[in-house]
Amino acid sequence: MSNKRGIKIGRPGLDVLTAADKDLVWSSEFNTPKVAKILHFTSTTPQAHGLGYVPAFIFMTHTDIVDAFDTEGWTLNNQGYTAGYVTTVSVDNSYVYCDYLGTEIYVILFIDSLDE
Amino acid sequence: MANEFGIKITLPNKSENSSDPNDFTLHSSYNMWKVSSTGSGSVSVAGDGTESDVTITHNLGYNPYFIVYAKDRTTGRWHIGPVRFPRNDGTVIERVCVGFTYTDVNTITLSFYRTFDSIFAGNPTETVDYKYYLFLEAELAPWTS
Repeated sequence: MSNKRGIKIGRPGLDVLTAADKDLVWSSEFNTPKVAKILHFTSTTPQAHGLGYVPAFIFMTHTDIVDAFDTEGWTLNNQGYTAGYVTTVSVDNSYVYCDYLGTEIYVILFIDSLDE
Repeated sequence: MANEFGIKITLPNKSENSSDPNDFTLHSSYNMWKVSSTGSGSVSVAGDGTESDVTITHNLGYNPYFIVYAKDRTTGRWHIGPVRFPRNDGTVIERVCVGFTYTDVNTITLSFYRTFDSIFAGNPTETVDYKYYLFLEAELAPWTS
C-alpha cells in the first residue's frame, strides 16, 4: 500500500475515492492557477506590474469595432483565424504591454512565473 | 433542511453563509482549474519557413484545456498562443507564428514557423522559448460575447 497523503474535494454527488481527477473540484495533487493581479487597459501605455518575475497571464479584450480583424464584443486572448492570432498583450519581468486596444482589455496575471 | 455536504473557504471578512460564490476562495460546488502538467523548452525556427514541431504526450484520453506561451528573444517579451509576434506596426512585420493542434486525445503538437516566408527567406535561424500549461479540464470553449 502506498503511503500517499493529501486532500481531495469532490463535486456534490461524487465519491472522492472513486472520482476521476478531472471530476474533482480540488486536489492537493494538482496546482491551481492563482491570480496575482488584474490590470485594466484603456490605452496602449505599458503598465508596470511590480511582480518581479514574468507572470503567466490570460486576457480579455472588448471592442466595439467590426471589421476584417475585429469582432464586436469580448474575446479571450489573441483574436482568431481572421485576425491571424496577432499578438495583443505581452509581458516581461517589469511590464505588461498592450500592442493593440479595441475598447478595453483586462489582463489577469498569475502567480506562476514563465521564465523559471 | 437540505442534507448538504461540502467545503467552503471564504475571503477575509466574508460570511460562510453567503450565497455569492465570489465570496469564497474555494467552494466545493464550483470547479477549479487543475494543472495536470507544465513543460518548457526552446525551439530553433528556420528562416526559410520550415515548421518545427514539438509533441506533448499527456495520455489523458481526452482533449484538455491548454495554454502555451512563447518568448520573443529580440524583445524579451512573452506572448500567449496561438500567436504571431511581434505585432506589425507598419515598420515591424511579424516574424514568428506559434500554434498548437490537438493531434489526438493523448497528444498535442506545438508548431513554430516563420511568417512571411518570402520576406524572411534566408534569414538566420531564430530560437523561441516556450512554456505550456496542460489542465485536467476538458475541451472548454473560448469565451465570446
